[in-house]
Amino acid sequence: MKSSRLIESVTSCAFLVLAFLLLGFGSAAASDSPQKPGHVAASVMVKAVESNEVQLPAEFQMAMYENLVSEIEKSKKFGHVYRDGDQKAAADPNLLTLEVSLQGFKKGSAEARQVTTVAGATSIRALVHLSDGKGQSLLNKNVNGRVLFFGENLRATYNFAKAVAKQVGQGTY
Amino acid sequence: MLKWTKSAAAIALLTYSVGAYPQSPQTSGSAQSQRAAPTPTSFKALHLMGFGAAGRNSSGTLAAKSGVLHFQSNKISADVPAASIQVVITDEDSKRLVRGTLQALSMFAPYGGGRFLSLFREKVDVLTVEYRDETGGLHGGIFQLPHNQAPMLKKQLLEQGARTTVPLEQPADQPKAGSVTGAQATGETQ
Repeated sequence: MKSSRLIESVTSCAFLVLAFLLLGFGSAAASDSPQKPGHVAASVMVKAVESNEVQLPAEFQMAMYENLVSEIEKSKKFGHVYRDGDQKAAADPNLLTLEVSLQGFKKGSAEARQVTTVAGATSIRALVHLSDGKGQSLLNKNVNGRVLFFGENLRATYNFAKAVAKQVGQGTY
Repeated sequence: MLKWTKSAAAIALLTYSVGAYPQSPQTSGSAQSQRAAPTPTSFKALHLMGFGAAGRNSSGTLAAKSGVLHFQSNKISADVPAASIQVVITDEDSKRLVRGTLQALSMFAPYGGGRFLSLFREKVDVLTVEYRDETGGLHGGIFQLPHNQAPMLKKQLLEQGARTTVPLEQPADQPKAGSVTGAQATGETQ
């Protein structure tokens, strides 16, 4: 008799814990939703990478730009991602601008990386600036991209773009 | 005195050999055969990113025909008008001879065998094309081509209306052109 009561109480407790867990997950999921209802997602225009002071090979410059566009699209943080010079962007009232200016670049060697593991790293350092239509700064940060062990040199541009998308994704616009 | 005579003789011999080298019949014959070889119209290429709807790391053929740069892979083809190409840049790089699954497996080889295989590399050319789409959006297509083929494709593209900030390399006997077509020189490697 006692054992049946014990089983009943244990099962009821289990149900209660399960219910609390479900409620918790539900509220967490609600708080993770990117935008509140009624909020219009901003659009962003990714400008071409500027490298006035530091010499950057053309393939790295374009790879940085293409990876930025791709990673920011993947983050789903913005309603639309416009490319540099896109005429459609002029009609967008809620447009942000993402500018990247190169601060440092070191082209390593994939061969040295693959043979020695510790040498030949490729690194990119750039200032990332996000501003709204009025010119107000929303993000101004130095971001690094490196390839240390595996992958060819252009992989540094992918790592850089991922880091930028992460930084941009942390804000609310 | 003897020292002076010996060194003068050595310099004279060296100068003669350097001057005579390009005029030897074997090299001039091979140069003639190289000149006679027709320029290819399509090139094997690995599309790294950014060219139209073509997928990343897809291999196919790249050709500049009738005013269009055309990339054809197994799954998809992409065209970009040569007139919309603002910059064509070539560069050189290298990649491992052993790639893919074998490369991954070679990492487990004993005594650093995988690292040793990394020393075997092949030279490749990298072709970067910067172009605008119909709405003015900037795109950057990057391709890997076999060694020494990117300048040929660049020449064909320029003939069909593409522009560049870095002119083609000219033979040594011709004077270099002073003006550069395009808006700005960005200091690329080639």
